[in-house]
Amino acid sequence: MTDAAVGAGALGRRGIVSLAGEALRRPPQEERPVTVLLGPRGSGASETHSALMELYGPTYPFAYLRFAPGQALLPRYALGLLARQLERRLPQYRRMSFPLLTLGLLASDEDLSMTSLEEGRRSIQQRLRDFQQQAESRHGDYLAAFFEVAGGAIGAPEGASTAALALLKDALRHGRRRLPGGNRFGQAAHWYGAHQLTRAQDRWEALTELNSWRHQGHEEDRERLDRILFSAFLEDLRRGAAPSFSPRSFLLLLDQADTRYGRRFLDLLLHARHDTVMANRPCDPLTVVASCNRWLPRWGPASGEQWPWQLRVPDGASLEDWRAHRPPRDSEDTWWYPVRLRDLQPEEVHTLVERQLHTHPGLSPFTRLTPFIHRLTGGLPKGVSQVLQALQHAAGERTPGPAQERWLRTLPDRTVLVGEVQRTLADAALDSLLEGFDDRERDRLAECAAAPDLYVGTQVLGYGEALFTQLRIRRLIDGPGAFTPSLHPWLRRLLLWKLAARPSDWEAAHDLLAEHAREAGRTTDRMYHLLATGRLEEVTDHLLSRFDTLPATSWISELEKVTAAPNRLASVGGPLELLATLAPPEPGGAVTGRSVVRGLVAARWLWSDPLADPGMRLGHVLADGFIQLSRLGRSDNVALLNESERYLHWRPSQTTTDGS
Amino acid sequence: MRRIEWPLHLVIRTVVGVVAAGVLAVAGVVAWNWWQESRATCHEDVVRRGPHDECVGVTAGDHVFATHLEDVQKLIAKENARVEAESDEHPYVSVAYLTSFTLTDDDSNSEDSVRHELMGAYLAQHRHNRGDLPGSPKMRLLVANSGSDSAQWEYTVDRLLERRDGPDRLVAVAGLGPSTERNLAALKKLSENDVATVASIMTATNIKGIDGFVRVAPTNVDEAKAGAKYLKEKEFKTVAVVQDDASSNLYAATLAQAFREEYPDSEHRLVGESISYDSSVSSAWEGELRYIPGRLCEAEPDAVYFAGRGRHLAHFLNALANRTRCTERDFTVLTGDDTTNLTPQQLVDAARTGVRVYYTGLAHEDMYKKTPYAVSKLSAGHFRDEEGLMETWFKDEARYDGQDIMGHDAVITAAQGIAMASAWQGQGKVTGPSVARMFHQMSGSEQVPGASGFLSFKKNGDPRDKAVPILRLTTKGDSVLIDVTSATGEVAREN
Repeated sequence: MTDAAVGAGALGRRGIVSLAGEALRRPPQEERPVTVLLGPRGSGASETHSALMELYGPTYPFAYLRFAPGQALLPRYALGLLARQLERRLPQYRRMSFPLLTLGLLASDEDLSMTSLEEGRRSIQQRLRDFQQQAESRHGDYLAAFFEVAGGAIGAPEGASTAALALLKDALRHGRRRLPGGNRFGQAAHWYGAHQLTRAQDRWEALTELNSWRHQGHEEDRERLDRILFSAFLEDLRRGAAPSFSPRSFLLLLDQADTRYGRRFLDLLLHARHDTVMANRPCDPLTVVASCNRWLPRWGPASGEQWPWQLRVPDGASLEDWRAHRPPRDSEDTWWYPVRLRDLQPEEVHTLVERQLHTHPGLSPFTRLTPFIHRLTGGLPKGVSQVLQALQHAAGERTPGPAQERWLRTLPDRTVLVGEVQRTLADAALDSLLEGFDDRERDRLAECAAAPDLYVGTQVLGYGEALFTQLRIRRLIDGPGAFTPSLHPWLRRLLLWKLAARPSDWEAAHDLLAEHAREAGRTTDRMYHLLATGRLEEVTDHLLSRFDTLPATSWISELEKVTAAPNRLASVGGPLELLATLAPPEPGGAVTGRSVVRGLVAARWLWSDPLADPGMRLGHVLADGFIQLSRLGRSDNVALLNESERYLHWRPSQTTTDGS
Repeated sequence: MRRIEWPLHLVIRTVVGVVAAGVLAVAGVVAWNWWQESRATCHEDVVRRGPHDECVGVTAGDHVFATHLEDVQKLIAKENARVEAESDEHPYVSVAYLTSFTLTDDDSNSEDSVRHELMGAYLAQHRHNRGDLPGSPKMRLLVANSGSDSAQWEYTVDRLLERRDGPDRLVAVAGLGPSTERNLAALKKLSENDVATVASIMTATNIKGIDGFVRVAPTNVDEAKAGAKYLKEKEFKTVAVVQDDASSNLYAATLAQAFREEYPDSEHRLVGESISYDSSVSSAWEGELRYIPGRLCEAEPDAVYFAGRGRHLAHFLNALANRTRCTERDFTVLTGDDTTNLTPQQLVDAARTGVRVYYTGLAHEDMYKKTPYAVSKLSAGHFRDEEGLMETWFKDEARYDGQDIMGHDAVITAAQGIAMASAWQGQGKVTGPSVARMFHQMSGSEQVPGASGFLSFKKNGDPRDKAVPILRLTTKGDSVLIDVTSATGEVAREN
């Protein structure tokens, strides 16, 4: 399967799409993972849901649920909504029904107010029918009643295509009209009587027990009710998948499952599944794909050190990979399959831009800017989309050249439409990435972003570990295994843009960090922060002195590290104009070692900032600089010539650390 | 149990498709059969069958089997309708007239002969229902066509048997065609199923002893004997017998055998032995007949007794006329009643050969004039040219062959049986067997006043002392009554 086959939402998620397809095609009783798409907000989880819906919706029953942060979606409502969607009639299968779940929901719906189980047993049958009839008369069918309460949780995944929306609408519209009545009502009641969680053996008494758990019981009883409802839901699915002409699997798409009720749902689902499998019964036929923007508390510390899983990358996701790496089956962790939603690669950004052209032909002049967009956003899908949205507002700056470069220099301050509100690109993007952070926290975070190592930033600036942990939970920091815990490049660039608007805070933060580096003996880090505050001459002197003592490759590495520093240079002028301001030619055109190094530092500093040099036009200047440097009489000047060559024919590389 | 995972909608479509195809196929077969049946159905109980696609079966007159029958069948249908309309007041039973009404070259009968038979049958119905021989219960006359050469006799007989019960109440079948194996089979099946049978022109001697069966024609033996007597009386001393050897031609075999037994005596002898042809070899019999005159020239008989069918006689006479040897010799040919089955044109052609032809007929309208004691005056009167009903109804019809008289006599015999059975058992109890039993009571005052002679029957069903007319073919092709005789020389008379 190709990305093109599943739409823009699946760009870079091919492994996830094929994993879901693989799981859907397996026999009903085969064990399947609960795939968790883990990534920061804007990493494309919703688009992936949409792509899965679009691709598998026509051929498999599916249900989509979004656990929005502000919405108290109780498990019973979530189950009602899911069942309603899974009942959708697909022509290739017999119709699915949820008699156990529906009966459990009915039995626990309204308070039966009965004084004893015996009394309840006598009257519950009639009462259940009454409830059902009332619900059906109000809403057409019983499960449809759940839309009244929890319909907001259906929505549609962000960025859903028209096809996906149509499928979702269809799933919601075509529920089952009536409950299976008659004998099946009684048969379903038997299941509750025989369930280990109910104390009463009699089927009607067991249903009465369900009612009392909800309306008269304690928290523990309500927990038990949720567990038995999940158990009923999975049993319905097992029974529904067993006969001929039934689907092998059902696709469950859970968006924003990291919220309180999402986590609760996942806990109950895993618990019910695990209990069943541990009791040597066949596994349910659910193919679950959940998306989380946060590390789940049940997985232990966000560093991931105590969790048996290592995050997988989407490109390698498969059932075989899951089976090979899943933790032992005695723990519920065995069902997880966490997949890190990686950022888009340059060519994927290019593809995304090209696909946007179908709906936004005005973007065509900017297709040449995809390397710039990728450098700017780090490939975060939402960031790419927002930048493209901002670019649509470019008026006379559509032609490559100095005018366009000057326009792009202040791109974060360009406006985009969020809903019906005009916001700057920086604000809109930060609102999305840092949802839940207040302004104070954002300001502090902007100061911390001055440090390439966020942990150092939070420590030096005195904001404690809490802020750092929060960001790590939200997957906005590179996960375990990364050498330096650094912010996502798009977030850091936006934060630094905001910090640049606060000159004193900018200076103070970098000064503190420079001082900390000096005390720690990390001269390179100190130079990084000095350069950020514009002290080009000091940095030039340092690097000039190091040129005589370090091997060429080490010197180049140090140059790169120092010149990756952020800047708060004037927002007017293109890269060449900025360079001329920072490193004017020596009087009389004399070429000295110092002038060459100063020129290289200035050029590399500007070049590493995509906003300062969107078209990487300073690559030629850097190439010249390294050639001039090689003429200064060193013996290992081959490395310098190679570096010159590299800038002359620069190609973006996945491994590059530029712009960070 | 293994899950079936084929897409349900495709399975449903396939099943629906297969069922629809099945339904269409069945509908197609049903429609085809219906079309075939409707195409095959000429009328109720009359279907199109056989290699000639002829309409065979039974009708009360609503279906006309052949155009030449239209007039008479209309009269019969009208009479039947009247009988049905008055059935509350006058109960009825049915009598069928069975023979080959759709004729081809395979048949010895001509269209004229079967039409004349049916005309006579209608006269008998009329006389019984409201004529000069009234009887009860009334009679519906069904017309039953067994097809050319009676090839479809079984179908027609089955339809007849279906009409024994119910409103039709079929009790007797008359006619029955010439003496062929198929007609004999039809006769036997009807007899086995308790239907009384009266043959009109069946003359083969070996057809006898069948339950409920009588015939109104003299047997071949009687004809041959009467012919032999006539030749002796006219002093023909030597006779050569020319015989059809076809095994299915019972008529010819019995005629020849009886003549050979009756004719020779001290003064008369047979000459030219084993002169024969085989009409069953269709490619040879005409050629064979061409060689026979030569043998007759050698045998030099005073007369020739031709034991064969009428249509073979025509060819024989033609061959005789065109002989190349003994042209100076005159030939006299005597033959049986099948000559009456020749058409007028065939008779004219035969007459033109110049050969003197005599034949023993079954009946002739002049019999009353010649021998008034031998036939019923009342019955014969209806066949007279001037005042008879036949002349009234069928004015333009040349009833030259006497077949109308035979058809009449067969049906009037059945009618009398019905009346006699009813007289003793009541109208409601008239059945095939009861009518058949009455055949044996038809003697004395109860003998049948036939137009071909008074009829009473031997136990084997043959008529007793049945009058045999000796006819001569004139040069114009007409038949002239020469004499009336019988096998014994004594003709049955009115008591």
